[in-house]
Amino acid sequence: MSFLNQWNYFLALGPQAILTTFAIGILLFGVSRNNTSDEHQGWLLGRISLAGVIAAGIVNAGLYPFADRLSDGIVAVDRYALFSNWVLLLGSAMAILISISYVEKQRIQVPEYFALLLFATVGLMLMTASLDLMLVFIGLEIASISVYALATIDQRSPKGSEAGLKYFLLGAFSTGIFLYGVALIYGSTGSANLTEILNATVDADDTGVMLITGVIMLAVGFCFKVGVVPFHMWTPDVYQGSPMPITGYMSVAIKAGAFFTFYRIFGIYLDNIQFSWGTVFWWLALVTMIGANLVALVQNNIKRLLAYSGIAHSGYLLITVLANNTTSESGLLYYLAVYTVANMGLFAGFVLVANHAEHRVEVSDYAGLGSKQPFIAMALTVFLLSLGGFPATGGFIGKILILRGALEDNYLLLAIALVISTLISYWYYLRLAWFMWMKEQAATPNTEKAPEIEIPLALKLVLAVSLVLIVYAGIFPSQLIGFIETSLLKG
Amino acid sequence: MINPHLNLFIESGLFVDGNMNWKPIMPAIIILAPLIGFIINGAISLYLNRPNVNSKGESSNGLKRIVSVVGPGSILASFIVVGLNGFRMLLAGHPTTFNANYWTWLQTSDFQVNVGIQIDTLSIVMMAVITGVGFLIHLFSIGYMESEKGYARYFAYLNLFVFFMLILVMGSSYPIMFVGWEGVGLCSYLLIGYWFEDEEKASAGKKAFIVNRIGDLGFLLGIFLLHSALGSVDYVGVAENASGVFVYGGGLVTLITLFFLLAGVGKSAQIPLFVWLPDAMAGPTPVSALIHAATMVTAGVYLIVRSSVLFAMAPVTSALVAGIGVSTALFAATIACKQYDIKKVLAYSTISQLGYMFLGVGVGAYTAGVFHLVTHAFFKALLFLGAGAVIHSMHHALHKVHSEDDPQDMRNMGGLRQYMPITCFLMWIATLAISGVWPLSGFFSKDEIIWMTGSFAMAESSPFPSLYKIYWVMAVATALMTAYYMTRFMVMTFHGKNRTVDGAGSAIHETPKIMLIPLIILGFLSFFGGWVNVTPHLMESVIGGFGALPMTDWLHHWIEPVIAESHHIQLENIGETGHVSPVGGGEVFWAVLSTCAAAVLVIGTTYFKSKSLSYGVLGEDSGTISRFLYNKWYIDEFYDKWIVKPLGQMSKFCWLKFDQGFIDRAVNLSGRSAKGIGWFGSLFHTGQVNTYAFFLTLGLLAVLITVMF
Repeated sequence: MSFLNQWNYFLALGPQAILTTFAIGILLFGVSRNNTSDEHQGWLLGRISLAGVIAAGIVNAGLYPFADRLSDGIVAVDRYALFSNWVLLLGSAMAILISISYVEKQRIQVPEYFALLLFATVGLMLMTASLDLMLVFIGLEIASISVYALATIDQRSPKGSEAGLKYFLLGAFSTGIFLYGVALIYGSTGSANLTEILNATVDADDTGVMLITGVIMLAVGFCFKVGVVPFHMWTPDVYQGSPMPITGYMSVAIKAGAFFTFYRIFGIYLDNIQFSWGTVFWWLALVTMIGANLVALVQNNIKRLLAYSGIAHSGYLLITVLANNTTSESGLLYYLAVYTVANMGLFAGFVLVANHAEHRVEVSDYAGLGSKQPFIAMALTVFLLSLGGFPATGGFIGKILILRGALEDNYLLLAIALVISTLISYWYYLRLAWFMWMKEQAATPNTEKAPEIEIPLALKLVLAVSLVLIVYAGIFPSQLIGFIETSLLKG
Repeated sequence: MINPHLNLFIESGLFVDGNMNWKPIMPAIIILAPLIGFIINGAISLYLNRPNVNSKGESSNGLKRIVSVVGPGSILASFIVVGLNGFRMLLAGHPTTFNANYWTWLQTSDFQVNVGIQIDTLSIVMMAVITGVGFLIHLFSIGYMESEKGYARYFAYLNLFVFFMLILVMGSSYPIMFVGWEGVGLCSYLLIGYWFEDEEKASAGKKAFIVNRIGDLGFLLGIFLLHSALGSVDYVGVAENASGVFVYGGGLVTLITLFFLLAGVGKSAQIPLFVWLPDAMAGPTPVSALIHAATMVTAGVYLIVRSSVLFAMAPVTSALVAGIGVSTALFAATIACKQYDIKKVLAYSTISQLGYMFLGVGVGAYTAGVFHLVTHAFFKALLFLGAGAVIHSMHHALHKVHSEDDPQDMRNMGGLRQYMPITCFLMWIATLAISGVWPLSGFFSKDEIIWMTGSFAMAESSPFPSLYKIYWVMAVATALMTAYYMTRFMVMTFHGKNRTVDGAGSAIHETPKIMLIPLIILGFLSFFGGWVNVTPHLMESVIGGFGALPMTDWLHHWIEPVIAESHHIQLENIGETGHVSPVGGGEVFWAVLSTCAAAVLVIGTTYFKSKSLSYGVLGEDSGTISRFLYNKWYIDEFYDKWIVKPLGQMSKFCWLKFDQGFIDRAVNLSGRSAKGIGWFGSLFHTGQVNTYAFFLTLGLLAVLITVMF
């Protein structure tokens, strides 16, 4: 697409523009109503934001005829960006659906909540489509600041405030590193535009200290966002303190958005200087996979458990950035899509068990769920199996693709580490499943009986759709893989 | 021989297409029937679990009846289709391989896996065992699980297990086998922990799960290496390309087979990964019979036979397979000699017999391995179900007199023959079969393995002749030990004086009919099952009644097409196997001798044991060796100390030092500070965010330093 006139830019950012419009509309609605005690506001605004996401999806589908492989502007309208939009939109749609009853129960300021959720998605979509490091930065910050605010949105929760603040401080710190990296890259290549950086690094060697330092700092900035060991430490705390649906959103959308961008920048545009970051990534992937899985073994809080699980998945995905061949890239896209669905489905179940609040978040609280709520328990079990990479679930296919990609580029050791850490991860995923099916609820007198779980329609929808998608992606993956293969950056 | 009407029926358009090939839907029924059973039973189980249904007894009784029909019925349906397939193959004269691809499962640039099944002579034997024995065990379960709470759930899991097991043996490629492989592991885990009120039993399931993961690691790596080397992972492709790519004794094929061996060792409970199987006996007894004796644990043997081409080209791995097999056989047999739990004896006996199968496939006697797998499925299922009947009876009797005695402890039994004569009789058949007494099934299968071990040692250019001679001696010793511990088992249970607490004895009753019928069928199979694979040599000797008994070497020819290539490789590289045993004497001589030895041992022990065992032998064994064996060589303790505990400590260490250390402080402080001047300011004093930022910087510096220098 030519970017000679402004209209085309607007078109290229169509989905983002639509979402922004809806978000602003929701904010205006909030100002005009100013009646926070309205119980059905959540349902109404949730539906409006969902409509926004769907509208953005329609525009996204309409952009396919315009999709070029390489655009010379600073916004890419390639099929890769459009695919990442799908994943991000899916993630936010599910986050909205599981939020509706949560915000109503928790009496959270609803207009801000949904508006911020949409803004965060806009930022992520902007980031994944951008071809300029400055625009990446802007997108990243739009998303981050929205999520900082979302983490603290329940003002009566000191934990949430603490989490938000912690996230903000450390996020600001990592943003500093990120920006410093951008500055150094700009200083050494003379541009922040990725295409120009690509051209400037064609015959770079390992003497360009400024460039390499910049690249590494940029990588560290990303590693912080996706939670790669040793830049992961904020994750468990922040996940634990944030409202449940936001934790879910953070664990999928932020991770997916950051990884889509991560891959675009490092796998494609900084590929020429892989000698500088390859070894580092190799070690980071290894340490992340093994370390996170080991630590996850002893977690009892499900949000912390999922935090470490998410860190481990970052480790797996880092391999795809490193191996960056077509199989790896398909693996990345497939994995992120499936991971988004499975993880959001899991959080839908968590929200239900927690009864739209923040209690009952221990693994032992899931005892006996299988007999009380077989549908939820079954769905959760399938999602857990998918995260663990059990055959006939989507997660298995994703892992196989990543493994194949790693082996094609002869990262044998990483492949073995991936398999071993996957096997370790089975333990804690199945431990949760084991509690659901194998344990009866402990009859301790001091804890009151768990309330009857009532499944709102929205959550039923999330669970059922995720369940179908995960199983479908595990048994008939070829269509999705075929679609993904047309969305690759590496043609 | 076969009814022409049946022939006509099979070949009608219902099942075959114009070219007389099977329609792909027919084999699919075999897999789908148990799945449908699982869905129906699962739905019923979920329905019954609802709290408001539990009170309505009458509706749940009707549903229970549906479960009783659907559970075994779905397996019977697949068995019938398997039978049709088998007949069709038999009629074809020359067994053909049927392949059906349903859809492409996975496709990347150079990696393609189709969801497809392969029905050949090997898989049809496995399918027949799984569905046939599986059906009998399902039938038995109706009686055994009658009064259990989760009746529908139990059958749902059992159906699901059969479904995955069929995928395992019917898949046309290694990845599909892996799907089944993982699936049966999952079901085994679910069924071991079936009585989940019991903490110990639930943790036994976990142990099984983890040990199996180690095996799965081997399987996955093996598949990937195989693909890297050959470019295909389906059996047909592997068989075609293997001899062109690999060289005999080459490093790559050895590595691949070692990975597969690791997988098999985990699944089939061989040294050093056998520890999970005895613990797995915590599940209901029919589960032990089906999963942990007849089917799932033999998956490792199936994997090796399936990969016979690869194993034949890797003499080192094969020697290791045989070595692991025979060591496990001997080792488990020693433990079985000193166990008192009726199921533990059978568990170690299973491990021991699986060792025999490994020995068989390790010496290139793939047919013998499969043969022993089949006969073992018959007599071990019978033993387990019989033991289940005994436990069932004991449980009720002890319950009646309000005794706290363990219904599984053989020291509490004795003299049960007078109460359960039919069960006793049937179990004696199985015992004689497993002991290798002529003319029962176990005699022929075990004898062939031992014989092939000996003749492999005497082959023209056997790779490690003296090693195989040692194997042979160990195998013979194990055979005698088997006769000993099985007789001990029978005598302690059924003979001598009754040692149950006062009054309980008379409450012990014969097995109910629904449970007895499967036992009788299995008894028949345990007796005659061995007659399908008798070498002509033996048939014409005294063993075969000088050709008078209706024996055949059918199985040998039946399996041959699947393993022909491996025999070819074997013949090329190590030449003809010998026809004498390591210490002289022909096949017949040793066959007769082994029977005599086993028979003498059985009779001798019976006589000796029935005299010495009387009421009140409950005391622990005092001898050092006895205690050592009773405690299973202290292997569990060894693993616990050197593997389980260190791993747990490592995980805790990582957590506490690198993560929790900061967090604990933070959580405490944030609680305290909220009361103070204002938590915002104090957050900066917790040191937590500072520490995180500090580590972030440290990480950055570390990374930068790595890159720069």
